[in-house]
Amino acid sequence: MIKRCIWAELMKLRHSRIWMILAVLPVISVLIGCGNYYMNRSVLTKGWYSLWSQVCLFYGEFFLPVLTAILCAYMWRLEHLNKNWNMIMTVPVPAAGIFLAKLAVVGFLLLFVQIFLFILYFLSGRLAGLDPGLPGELPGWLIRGWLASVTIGSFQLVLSMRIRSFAAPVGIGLCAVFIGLGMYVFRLGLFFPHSLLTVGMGVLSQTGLSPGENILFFAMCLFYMVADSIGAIYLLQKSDTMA
Amino acid sequence: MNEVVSTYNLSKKYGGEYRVKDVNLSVREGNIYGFLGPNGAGKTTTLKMILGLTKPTDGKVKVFGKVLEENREFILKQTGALIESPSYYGHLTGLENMRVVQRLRDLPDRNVVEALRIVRLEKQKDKKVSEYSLGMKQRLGIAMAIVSFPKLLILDEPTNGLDPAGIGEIRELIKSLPLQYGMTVLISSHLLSEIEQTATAVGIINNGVMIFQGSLEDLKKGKQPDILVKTGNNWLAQKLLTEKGYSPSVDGEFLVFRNLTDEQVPNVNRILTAGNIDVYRIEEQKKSLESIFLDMTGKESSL
Amino acid sequence: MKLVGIELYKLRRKHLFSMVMIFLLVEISWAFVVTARSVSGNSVYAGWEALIAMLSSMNGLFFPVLTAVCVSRICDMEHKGNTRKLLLAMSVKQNRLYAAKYASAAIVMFTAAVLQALAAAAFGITSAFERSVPLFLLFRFLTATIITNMIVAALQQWISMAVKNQAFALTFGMIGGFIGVVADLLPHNVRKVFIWSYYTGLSPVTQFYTGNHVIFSIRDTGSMVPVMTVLIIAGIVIYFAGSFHVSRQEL
Repeated sequence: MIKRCIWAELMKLRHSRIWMILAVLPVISVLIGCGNYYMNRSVLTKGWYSLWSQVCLFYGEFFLPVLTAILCAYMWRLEHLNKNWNMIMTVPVPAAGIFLAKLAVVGFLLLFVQIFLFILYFLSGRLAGLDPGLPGELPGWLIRGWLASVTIGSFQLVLSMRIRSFAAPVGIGLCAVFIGLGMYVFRLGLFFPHSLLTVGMGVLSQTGLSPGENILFFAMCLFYMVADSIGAIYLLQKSDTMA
Repeated sequence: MNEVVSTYNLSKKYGGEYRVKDVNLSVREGNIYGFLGPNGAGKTTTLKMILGLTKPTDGKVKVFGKVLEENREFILKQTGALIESPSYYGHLTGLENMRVVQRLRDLPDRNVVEALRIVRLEKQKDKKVSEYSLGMKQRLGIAMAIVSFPKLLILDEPTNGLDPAGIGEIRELIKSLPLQYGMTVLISSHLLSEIEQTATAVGIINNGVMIFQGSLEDLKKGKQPDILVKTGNNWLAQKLLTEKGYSPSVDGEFLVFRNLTDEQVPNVNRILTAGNIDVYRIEEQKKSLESIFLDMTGKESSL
Repeated sequence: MKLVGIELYKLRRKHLFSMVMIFLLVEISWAFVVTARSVSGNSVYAGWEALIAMLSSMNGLFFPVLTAVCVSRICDMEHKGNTRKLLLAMSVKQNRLYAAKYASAAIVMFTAAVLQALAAAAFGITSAFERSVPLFLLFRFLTATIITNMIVAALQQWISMAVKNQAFALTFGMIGGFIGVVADLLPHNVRKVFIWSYYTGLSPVTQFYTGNHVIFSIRDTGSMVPVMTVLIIAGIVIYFAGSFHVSRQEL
């Protein structure tokens, strides 16, 4: 069942220019991060680590959450138009299928973004003359970053599902970014999706996470994703469909 | 014959007002049920409740003998619907839109081909739907509703935006559905003349309340046809007849008598000939659905 | 004039104002917290300069996106309800409509900027900064924010009106925010091209990093005027280009 829904979701993305939007972000992040690293090599002496911090500072802190918000708004925009709500709610598919399929597609697209970022990061590092010796923490950063972004995605999907405006959930996501920053500063970083992203990707501090912290990280991601999904599915089932 | 759709005291409240109150709709298998009512009467709201799009404030919906709330997927699998206006993804072609529905409903390719053929959209299937005319979008909506060849088909104003030829085609299509595909059709429309030609059962809703439900014959039975009389001097004739206790109204060249019994007709004739008035015509005008409808709802039938 | 009133009326149910307020609140709180921390660390630093510098750089990140969101919401209405045709049929001239929307966006952003400046003043007073409120400094800060905002808004409106799918306008706004924050790291000549760099570019206070310390210096007012003039002209050009392009669009 869910395979069918995911297939339908992917079909809906045909002819759309969302790929462009998703690709632009890593490109700019890496461009500027790398440029900044290159120009300040005297100060930034830690090779790949310094490059990572430059590239990811704005990517992980700010632009990935906002990009995720835009992506999720786009996923629901298609249904808000042309009374498509009537159509998706009268096919023999459970509400869970509809929401989870969208979440799955968001996860897949964010994975693409993360991988693309990695490729660009690697290439730019080599171009800047760094020896091939990638930091060992890199896979951890990438995976945790991806998971945290999907967690943010589940939150944004719920917002965009209920709010017809395209921009408003993005605006709310922006607020959440600042709240996440605040949480991080007050050492509560592991309890909020946006700060989970900061922590997970090693944006501000590059000491790794202890095994205990790792477990907490994954648990929090799971918690938020499940809570959001259950909330969304409940809302889909119980409320009147406003096409 | 089974009841395909039955509602029990179905009601929906918005704010403090009941948009739909205590509606007991009943659609029998194999019927083409025409659901009529003026604008804002509650037709679309009722249809939405039957499909589960709107949750009722009160009452129950049963489809295929099963309660809607608990058997939603089972019921929707065998139901096709076009409600409010046709839904579509503008940036996809007609065929791609059909493929989305096909995938969600798990249907074979031949259904899609057949549905498109039936609504005559094969030539335009590779055009983006945002470039379709209103009529084409409507036909696509119908195709998406019938693609699963469901046991129950719910159509909300399917002839919207179609030209007379298109309306005729859809009429023929709908009439053929019970016979050819074993479908039961629940159709709401404003085109009373179309319903008159297509439907086998009728339900009329006004201000959220069902005021009639039954076969088309039953509806027309209670209403006597009008008797129209054309005379040489209508004005004098009317005066004479009013004095004798009749109350004809004037409609163009005719005097119109409502609810005249068979026995009264020759009386009228005698009165007129006794008064030396020439009687040119005595005609019967069967009540059209439209006039019955207008009588019952007392409103202008909306376009 | 009437059209502007109508535009603001359309916004009534959209809670645009409340959203802007919340954003501002979050941004300002963050700026205050950070400033308070850095000021408490070293009493040599003049509190006001630090505050304004901090707000300027945060604005570079924040206002482009906020402006994009506001403008998007104001322009989205017409796309969603397909009301452009309706308005045109009522002989509302395209460029009048464009102007009215721009004016409403400008009013919203102006209010935001003023509120921010007021909040900054209040914060400074309650934190007992050394000097009393430096009105002129704050005024220059306000002007810088407003001018830059107007140009960004003109750009954003062009995109939001011309392209139906608001994803592009918002992405563009996001990239703008990115540039706004990163611009200071770019060499002088490159920086000047990007509008979003002017949140800090026009700010009365600049920061220098020497080793571990930050030194704030106040820019000379006179040198700013020619830059501002050029910017205002650029903004006007962008606005009219957008208005022209959009009115030529086939509906």
